[in-house]
Amino acid sequence: MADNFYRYLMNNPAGSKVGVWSPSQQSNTNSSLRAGDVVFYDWNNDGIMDHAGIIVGSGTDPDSKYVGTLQDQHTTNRYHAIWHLKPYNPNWATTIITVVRPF
Amino acid sequence: MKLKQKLFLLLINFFVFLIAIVNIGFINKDEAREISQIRNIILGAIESTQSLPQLPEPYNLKSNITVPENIISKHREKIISTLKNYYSDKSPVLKRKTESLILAVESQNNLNDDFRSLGGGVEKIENLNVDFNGNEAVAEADLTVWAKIYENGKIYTPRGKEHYVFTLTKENGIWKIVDEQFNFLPGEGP
Repeated sequence: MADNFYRYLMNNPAGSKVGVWSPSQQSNTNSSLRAGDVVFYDWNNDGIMDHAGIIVGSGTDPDSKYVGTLQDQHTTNRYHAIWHLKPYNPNWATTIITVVRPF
Repeated sequence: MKLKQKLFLLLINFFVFLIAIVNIGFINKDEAREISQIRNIILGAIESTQSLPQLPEPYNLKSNITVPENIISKHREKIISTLKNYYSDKSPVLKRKTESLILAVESQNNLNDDFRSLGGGVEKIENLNVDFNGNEAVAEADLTVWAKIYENGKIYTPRGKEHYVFTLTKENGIWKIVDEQFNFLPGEGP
């Protein structure tokens, strides 16, 4: 489902790719991101998006206490989680993150 | 039919039955051995994926010291040689996993954040099912994986149960992974 959403946004004239971040580039604060950006997670670097969330701003993640750029998401519901999800993701080392701006 | 003939037929039937049982027994024994080999390859592959981002001591313990290039380079070689034990050279998974893990190691030097990998592994393997087709096999299993990371004075141990589908091929008598797909089971994702 996340992959279909990614393809839909990328095929939409309003959608633009903000960037792709490998584990070596996933700093806590990502100044390229804006509230409303859609963040896609590819857990195993196979080019298929496995999960999505929405960037909401900057601050402190209430669960992990990470400070940086934050996202909200469903499935595993998270409110203001650190955007790269490292403290929650056992597959952090193989996760590639792509961000799309839908506006 | 004479008693002698009846006994002879009974004896023949008994031997046919015995041969069938023995053959079924051998097939199961062979298959069990193959499944055990595949289980070890799967476990080795995912254990390595989870644990290889961890740098050797003392670099894994102190995030305030820069990791020298020769240590990173040695670790890069370790990632390449370890993964080759489990993944086929022909597999695109080998290439992308090697790249990801090397980047994960380098991230511990490159990022401004106070971050280190403290290892990881496989907690449990469940529901392993293997379908054979000659020298190829498709194996499905649920693996509970974990990682341990250090960030800004805190330790985090994310874990999750994931459903994997592996395609394997036998190369020189050894099973190797050619394709690997997974996703988190419902409610287990980050």
